[in-house]
Amino acid sequence: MNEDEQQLREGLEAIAAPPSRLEAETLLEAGRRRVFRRRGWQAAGGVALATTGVVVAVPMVMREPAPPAVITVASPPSSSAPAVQRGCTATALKLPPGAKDASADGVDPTGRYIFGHDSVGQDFRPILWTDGVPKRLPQQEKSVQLTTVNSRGVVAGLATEGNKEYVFRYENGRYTRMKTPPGRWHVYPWPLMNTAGDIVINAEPEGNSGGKDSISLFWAAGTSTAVKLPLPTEANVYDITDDGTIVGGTYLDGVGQYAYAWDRTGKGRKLAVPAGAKTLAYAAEGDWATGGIWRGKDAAKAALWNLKTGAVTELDGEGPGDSVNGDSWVVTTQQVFRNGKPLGLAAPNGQEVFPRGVSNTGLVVGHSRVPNTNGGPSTPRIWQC
Amino acid sequence: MRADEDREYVDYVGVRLPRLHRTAYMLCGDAHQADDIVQATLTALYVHWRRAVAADNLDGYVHRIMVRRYLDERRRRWSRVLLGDHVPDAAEAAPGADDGFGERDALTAALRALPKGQRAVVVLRYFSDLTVEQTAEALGCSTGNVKSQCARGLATLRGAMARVAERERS
Repeated sequence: MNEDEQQLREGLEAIAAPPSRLEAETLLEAGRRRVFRRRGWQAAGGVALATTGVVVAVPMVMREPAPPAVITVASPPSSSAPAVQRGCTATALKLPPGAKDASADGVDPTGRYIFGHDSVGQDFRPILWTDGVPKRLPQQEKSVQLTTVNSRGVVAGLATEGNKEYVFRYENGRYTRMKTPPGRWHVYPWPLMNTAGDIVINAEPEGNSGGKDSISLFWAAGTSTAVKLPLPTEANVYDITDDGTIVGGTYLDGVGQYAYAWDRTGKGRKLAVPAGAKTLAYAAEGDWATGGIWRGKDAAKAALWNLKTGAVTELDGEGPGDSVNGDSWVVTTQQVFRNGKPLGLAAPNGQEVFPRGVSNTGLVVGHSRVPNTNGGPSTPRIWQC
Repeated sequence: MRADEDREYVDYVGVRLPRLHRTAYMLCGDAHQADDIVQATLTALYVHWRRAVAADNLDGYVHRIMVRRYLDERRRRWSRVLLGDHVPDAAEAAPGADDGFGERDALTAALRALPKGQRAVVVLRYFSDLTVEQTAEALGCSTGNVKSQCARGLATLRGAMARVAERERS
């Protein structure tokens, strides 16, 4: 080993990391839950299982807004598994020429446009499926990650220039770079967009992490100049609906506190919170929002809010919710919930399934992978439910 | 898993956790995301524990999962982590760390400025002590690629380290 290498080893040794929340015992519990869930699913074999838990769905139609209420599922004993609904037809998406594998990472509300990626090393190569036909988008930068598409086929995402990411909009075959306010900013986590083409994201001063001194940004449809949203200090936004409702949450010293819905003027309302819990809203569509519910060290549960009433439903499965459709279906990392119950999403040969998004037409998109391959090839799929 | 295997798992994780967290932090540059990556890695490790302990090199196996999770998290559009209320007040003190915050900051900043591929190679080789072959396996690339990325990463970091050394002398 030469002197440079030795010096680097010593330098890296001296770098301290911020505190971690992880402990060996809680990881053991998380591992046990994962094993149980896998076994429960294997045992189900696509057939509905009996459950002692009762999922109480928020009424689908509320004529008059009611005061916010909390409706919590009755938790089944840990030895039971939630009922699994059947009835989704899986289809593999075609790959574009030259792709060996890919993932489908999101879908527009109509189900017509699906975005996804394959990758080279750690860099994303963007793919847009229109009516099931894949097309590679231009590789404007070394890495181009699509994160949202609307029903007009307009796409937005993150491009990596050097070692810095910026937000772009892709429309009519052209990329437009979204400008950030003066100064050097790191945008996070990723842009989301509504049907009109309005985009929201957060930004923290370059060099910060964990959202320190962050601001929230809004780009109106067709524009590339950011407007800073007048939100409380540390508030972060994650999604915007067609009526301009922006969902996200408040933070205190970098720790998420409560899910909120704001308008562009900063007028906000706190969404219902189960007793003793903390919440954040991560996605919204129509009258519905989803996100997470955290209690102490427990793993997150998925939350479903009715934005008209503010009421929350706690779903019986690992959260948080990452995506929601206009009929209140919720997508988490490994499950899709319809009317509060998990859907049975299958893939050939016992492949593991990773749902990512759902349209208002009940089209679930995601990918599947041979179990235990830890990053092996992915097959992009759709499930029509 | 049997109770004795659970104990083995907790023993292993308890010892490795701080270093794995630091490795993930150096890879991604964000404490929240580092927690997410390590949790996903070690949960997956539990599921495959019996197979994992039979592997020749358990640490190499864990790093391989972690790098894959790091890439997956980017694909999954990460940062959906909410820290709980149980975070210790003080940062983890690195063993042997001195009071030179500025020096560490300079190297941290330089590390963050590296392209992701170079950063991963540098962290796995010089912090996690993986061999060239193990690093190549973890990253899914050739040993030649690891060597060239190492050389480039070292060259870039040399400037930062020189500034650190300069400050130490003054």
